[in-house]
Amino acid sequence: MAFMYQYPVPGEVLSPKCKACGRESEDGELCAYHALALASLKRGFVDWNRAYSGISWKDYLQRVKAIEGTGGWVKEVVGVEEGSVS
Amino acid sequence: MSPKNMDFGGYALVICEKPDAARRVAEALSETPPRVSVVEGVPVFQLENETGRYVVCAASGHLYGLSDTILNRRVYPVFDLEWFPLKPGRREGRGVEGRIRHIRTLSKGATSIINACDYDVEGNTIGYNIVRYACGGKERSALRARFSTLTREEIKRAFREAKVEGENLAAAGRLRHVVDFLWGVNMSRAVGESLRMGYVYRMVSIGRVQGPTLSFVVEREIGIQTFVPVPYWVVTAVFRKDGVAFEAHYSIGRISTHAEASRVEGTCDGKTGVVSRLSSAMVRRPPPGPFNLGDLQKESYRLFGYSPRETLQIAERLYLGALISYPRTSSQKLPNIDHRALLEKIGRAPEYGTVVGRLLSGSLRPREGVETDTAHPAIYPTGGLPTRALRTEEKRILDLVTRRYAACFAEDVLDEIVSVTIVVEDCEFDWVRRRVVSPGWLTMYGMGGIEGVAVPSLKEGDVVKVDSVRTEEKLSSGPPRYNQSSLLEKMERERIGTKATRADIISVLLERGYLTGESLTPTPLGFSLIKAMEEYCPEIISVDLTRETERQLEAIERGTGSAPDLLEGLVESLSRVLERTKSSELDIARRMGHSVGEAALAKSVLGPCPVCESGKLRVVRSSRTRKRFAGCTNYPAGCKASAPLPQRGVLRAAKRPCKNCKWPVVYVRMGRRPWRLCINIQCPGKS
Repeated sequence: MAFMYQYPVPGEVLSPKCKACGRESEDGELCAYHALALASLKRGFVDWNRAYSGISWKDYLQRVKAIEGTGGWVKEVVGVEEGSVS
Repeated sequence: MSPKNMDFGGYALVICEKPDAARRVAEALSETPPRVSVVEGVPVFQLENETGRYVVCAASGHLYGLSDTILNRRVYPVFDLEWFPLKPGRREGRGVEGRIRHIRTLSKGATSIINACDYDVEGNTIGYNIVRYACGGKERSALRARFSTLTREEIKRAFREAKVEGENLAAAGRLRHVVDFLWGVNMSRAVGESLRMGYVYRMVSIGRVQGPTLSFVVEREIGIQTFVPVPYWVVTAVFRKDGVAFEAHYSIGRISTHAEASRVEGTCDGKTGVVSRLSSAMVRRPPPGPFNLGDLQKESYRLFGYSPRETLQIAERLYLGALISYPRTSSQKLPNIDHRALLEKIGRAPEYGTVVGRLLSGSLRPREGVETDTAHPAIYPTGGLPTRALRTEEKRILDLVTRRYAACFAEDVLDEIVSVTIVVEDCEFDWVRRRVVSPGWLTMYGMGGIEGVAVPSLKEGDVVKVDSVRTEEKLSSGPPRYNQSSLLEKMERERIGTKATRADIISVLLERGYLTGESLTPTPLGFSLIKAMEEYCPEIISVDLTRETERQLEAIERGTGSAPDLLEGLVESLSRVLERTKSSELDIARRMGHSVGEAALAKSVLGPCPVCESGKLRVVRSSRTRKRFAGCTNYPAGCKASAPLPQRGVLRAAKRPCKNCKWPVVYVRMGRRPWRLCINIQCPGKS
């Protein structure tokens, strides 16, 4: 989302960027909000795996991404995850 | 007009909050139409009755406001405040000087002063400040007229019983202004100065109640954006008995695995079941209590989609028309008045005749809620007739208040709840139906509709055939966004803000561009503001701090709290927060700068550029001439599209571009009516 970007202040050394939105990230992977979304995505996988008696991570990502009610940040994290899976 | 040229001597000066209220008060006190004169745009009413001579004048809301003594917007912290007449430059300050001058002159010839402003914290503050600053410090001797409706009988009673009152309400009101000013102005200046460190020159405001309210929406948004739906299954069986089909749901409700849902479906399909449990109960639904402001705002939003602020404005107009009682109340208790006479009066209107007639045949005992308010009762109709044609929204709210009031006296709704459990092999299915047996108060307040469903005749041990079984896969849904009504409810639940200010707070958050849409969504600006505050000054978004301040203010209102203690604690915590903000200015600028810049850009955009077709035409101010014009955001990339703009007036971009040339169209507001203008000076439509 557009508002995740940060405004560079002159003289500031910027931290690594979030892979989903370009916002500042502590570990160079995801910003705090997308890290929350990733944690939620991982928790969701446990429920989905149990619900279908086994589902692959890739299949799970595809299905979650296609659902209208999935949060916007989660969908952005799915994009990052799909990139790393393929 | 001055006391010299008034044609009678000593008089009581009555100060009302608004001109409409002044007219009502004057008309109620006088048997003959009062003499009206307009001085400096303010109507003044002179009248005489058996109790004496009166001059009734009106303020227009607040005439005095707080200001710091430094008068430099870039300086913080500021703790030295004074009450000043509102500045004429501000919209609410128009005509204030004249009104104050006029009231001061009138007060010189008055033998007594009667404060007849609305009887609540804000009204008392308005009246107190006028009596103190414009009437030569007579606040301790001024009488207080206390009324909840603007009907003749009640106003006369209020003036007969007018007396000198304590200053608790006014003290609490004035202190509330001080607390809000100290938090709001200091924090807004701190954020503004932080942004300057990042070369962003825009004022961003945040306040003691705004902060937590905005943070509710932001927290909800985080929940929505990080939500992952989880699948579940619902199994429904269609049973048949004596030719009547009915649906029952698997008793577990949500089945969390597909395997279990398939097993249930496979087990039950084509089988028969036995009615193992059948219960029937009659349940009473008592009528809802009368409206307080929050309830009215929620109901009006639910039924008509009016925002809480709109509802309050409509209700205030009805109050000034003496059609309903004072709306800014948290009470759900009706006053001790002759309800039979009031209902008879209401029943004279043809639309209420039948229902009220039914009520009057029995004894009248109203059903009330639990909330109380020391100043005013719940909102109820006066039964009076409007003196002007009401607008649709006014008719609707008056009807809603009238029906709700009448419903308080009606009988309970009687529902029959039938609950059946059917066992098929090892699976249980539940069938529950609610049926309205006696509609009671729903006949006069059936705003949600009356439901009723046919019930098949069943008894325990009956064998029923399973016609079909279906399994539906569903997904859990995320938290819903707040709308204005549910956010208002949340504020009430968290006890932040007051009944009179909550709706305004929500509107301010929308106006300042922190929230957007019907389903309230935080904008990037609102989001970044809360996130920056969360990190560097969490106190301003803390519900606890706001709630504690409210608690202390309420104690002061009751006369049990201590204003110095409250102020001491406030200055201490505010100083701590501001010190921390000062040392984090650069960080705040970095966190917020982009979104503030984006918000400013979005506000100045007039529409897409028809020349380069990728940029946007926005309002730009020339650094050389200081004149404004429209220029393309792609100017650095070579797009030279530009157009002159009117130098005066407020510009608002139209939704659609010009149909002749595709350039943006703006509405220019300079006088009362805005005019429409295609900004392209070579537009073929202009020739």
